Amino acid sequence: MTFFLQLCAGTLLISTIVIVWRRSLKSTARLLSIQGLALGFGLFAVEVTRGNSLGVAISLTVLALKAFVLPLLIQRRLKIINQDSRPSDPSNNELRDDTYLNPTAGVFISALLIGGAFVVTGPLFTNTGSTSSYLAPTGIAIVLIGFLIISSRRRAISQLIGFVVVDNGITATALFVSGGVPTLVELSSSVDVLLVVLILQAFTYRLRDHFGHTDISQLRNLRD
Amino acid sequence: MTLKIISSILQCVVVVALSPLQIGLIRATKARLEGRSGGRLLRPWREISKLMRKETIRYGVGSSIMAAASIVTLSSSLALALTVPSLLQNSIIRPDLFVIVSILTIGAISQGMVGLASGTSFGGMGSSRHLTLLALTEPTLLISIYALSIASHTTDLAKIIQLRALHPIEVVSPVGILVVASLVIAVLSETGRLPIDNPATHLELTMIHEAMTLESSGRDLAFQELASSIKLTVLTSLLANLLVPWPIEPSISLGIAPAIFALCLKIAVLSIALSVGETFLAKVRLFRVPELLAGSLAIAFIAVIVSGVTTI
Repeated sequence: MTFFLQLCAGTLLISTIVIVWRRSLKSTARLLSIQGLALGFGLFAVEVTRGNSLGVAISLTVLALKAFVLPLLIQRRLKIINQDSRPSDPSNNELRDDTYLNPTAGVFISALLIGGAFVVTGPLFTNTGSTSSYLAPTGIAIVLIGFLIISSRRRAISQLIGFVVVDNGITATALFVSGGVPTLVELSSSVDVLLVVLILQAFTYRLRDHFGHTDISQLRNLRD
Repeated sequence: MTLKIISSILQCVVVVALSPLQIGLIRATKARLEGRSGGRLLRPWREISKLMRKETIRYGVGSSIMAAASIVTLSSSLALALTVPSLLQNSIIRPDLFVIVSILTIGAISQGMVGLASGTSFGGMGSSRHLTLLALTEPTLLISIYALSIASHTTDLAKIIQLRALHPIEVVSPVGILVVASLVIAVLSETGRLPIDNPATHLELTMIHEAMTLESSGRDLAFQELASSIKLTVLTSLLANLLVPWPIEPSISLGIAPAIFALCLKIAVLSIALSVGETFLAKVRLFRVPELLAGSLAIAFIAVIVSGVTTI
């Protein structure tokens, strides 16, 4: 089981870094599905070793939600945007996101965040009684990087992606500290996230209908 | 002592024999995937032997450097094949991380000298690019393997691989995955593969390694080609052994035959993966390469932090 949890932590960490690194939204959606797969398999491994059949079923549902449903929703959204956007105007290319940070600076800041998470929260998780609790700072680091993504990107859809990353980080922390929160709670929180993603999607669509773009950096001050 | 010398030489011979075959395998796989005929497995060996027989033409002015630098490039690659534990653990030179990176740097710098020695603009351009990338690649190699050496308390690569064989769980630890990710990018850059440098191109404005060898001919070119293929084989086998650290014998014995077989298998699998990857990748723009390498450096840095914090 430690094997799966370690693999899960490593995959999560690296996919999060690559999400910060890449500007293409398409590959970001794919990376989110990799994250979902890693998390889902981690949960699945924990539930299988516990021998809880209901837990196994719920973990599979969570896996399907995180690995397939959420990324597919985002990909579908991107497809709609892609059909609408004018390909003649490269500055309005909605499949790439502009960041306030360049990718290298983003990766270095996330390196600092990961280091900070391990140094500061590492000692907190030493006596939780779980064998995998030394991996828990990974989850905290992913939450922090998710906030970095939310705060440094321009497009509304990236806020969505950052939000999903934060949620993955929270799930990962719970998974590593205690072998997963009670599965029912996990399921309900995942469904909540799905709901929020759907709402935000509708929201970005309305935003686009109204303003013709989803660049939230232009929504800073009020206009007449 | 003699046993060590014999086993090191054996390892070197195996690696040298395999290296042009690896290039051949990569080319053959790529040709198959792209729907071309051609790409024979033995072709690189035949090319090298053909070049060895051909006349070596050198400039009157830069000749001595040209001749010396080719030999230094080849000998640094041979030293690498002797040192890096691809087949056996006890080599005659202790496979220390810093020694290996220094040998790599010597080879890379002498290759840069070859490009400069001819005095043509393409050679100089190639060398300048090569050395710029070198300045970003070597620290990545150093730092990423250093992350592994924190956990095992040694910078000896053979011992690191031995410890990984004893504790296979280390291979999939977060540190292990981060290290492999950054090492892959560093190795691709060091050996001049896509997406950093296209080994098949002769388009003047994009080539790096090919630009440096442009003015070499005959034996010089054979030495440089062999050196670069040995470097590729050694670094792939290092990557393979960090991932699958099993049949590596402590010294020369009967177990050497399965070890050689396993090495061939590992290199073949990685080469096929490399060529499949290369078929789907395009070369990154030169000005975005430092971005890529800085990213891999950052990943290596993260690996060091994580392993430093978790192994106290």
